[in-house]
Amino acid sequence: MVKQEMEVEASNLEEAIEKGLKSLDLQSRDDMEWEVISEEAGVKLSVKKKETGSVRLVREEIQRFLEKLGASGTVKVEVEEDRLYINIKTKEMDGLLIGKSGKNLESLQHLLSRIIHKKDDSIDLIIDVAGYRKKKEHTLCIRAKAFAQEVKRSGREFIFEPLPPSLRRSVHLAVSDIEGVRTYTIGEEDLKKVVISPSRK
Amino acid sequence: MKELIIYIAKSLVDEPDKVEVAEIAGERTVVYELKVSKQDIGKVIGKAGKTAKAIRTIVTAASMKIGKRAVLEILEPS
Repeated sequence: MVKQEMEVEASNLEEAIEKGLKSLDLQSRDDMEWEVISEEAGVKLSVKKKETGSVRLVREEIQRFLEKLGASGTVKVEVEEDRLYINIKTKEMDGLLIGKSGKNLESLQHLLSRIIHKKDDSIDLIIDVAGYRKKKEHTLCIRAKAFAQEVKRSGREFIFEPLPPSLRRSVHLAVSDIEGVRTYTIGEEDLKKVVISPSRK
Repeated sequence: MKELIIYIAKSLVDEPDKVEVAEIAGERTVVYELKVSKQDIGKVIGKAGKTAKAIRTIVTAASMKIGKRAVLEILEPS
């Protein structure tokens, strides 16, 4: 992965800027912020990728939320393929924000999505606290793949426990490239479950 | 806490000027009464009460941190 921020050195400013663009894998100067650190014996720059409007909006809004919540912490926003992944880390509230088996995290996801969609409803975001969701997604993927093999072998359906939307998505995706099985959803509202079923009758 | 509830409510509604929160302090519990404009009530309650539930969860988490029970009541606009 390309770093978001780094230091570069060159004999003059122009060269240093070019070097910065190259190191950050950027095309245009408009996409980079820089600051001169020293100018003795060549130019030393601190260069940084500029945030896009939506990344800034999301980060600032969530920081404001944490402030009002009385939680000090950091908000990291990563741009993923079709969504923004936001990982929140607080000093003392991570456990409270995650809740029992991630229940509070789902509330946090719902609320922050609503708040941000009020400002820009084109942003797709996924909220995490201390990497909890990432870890859960990972174990769920492994389980889904194992169950898919079992379904293929036995020819019998497997029904998952009720899962929130983002985790159901992970299951669908994990199984999508396995031949001989398909997935669908049953149930309503908070009790939706993914079913892995044999695709050949 | 009051500030948190005001911030959340104002972020969700179309008429933030009409958001009001009253704080009623008891011995162990503080009740917060949230009032929004009639057309915004759906925005703070959400589909099947999902948004209201989410606000309550966050309020409870924040109250656990400060060690005093907080209850959120959403008032029906008259």
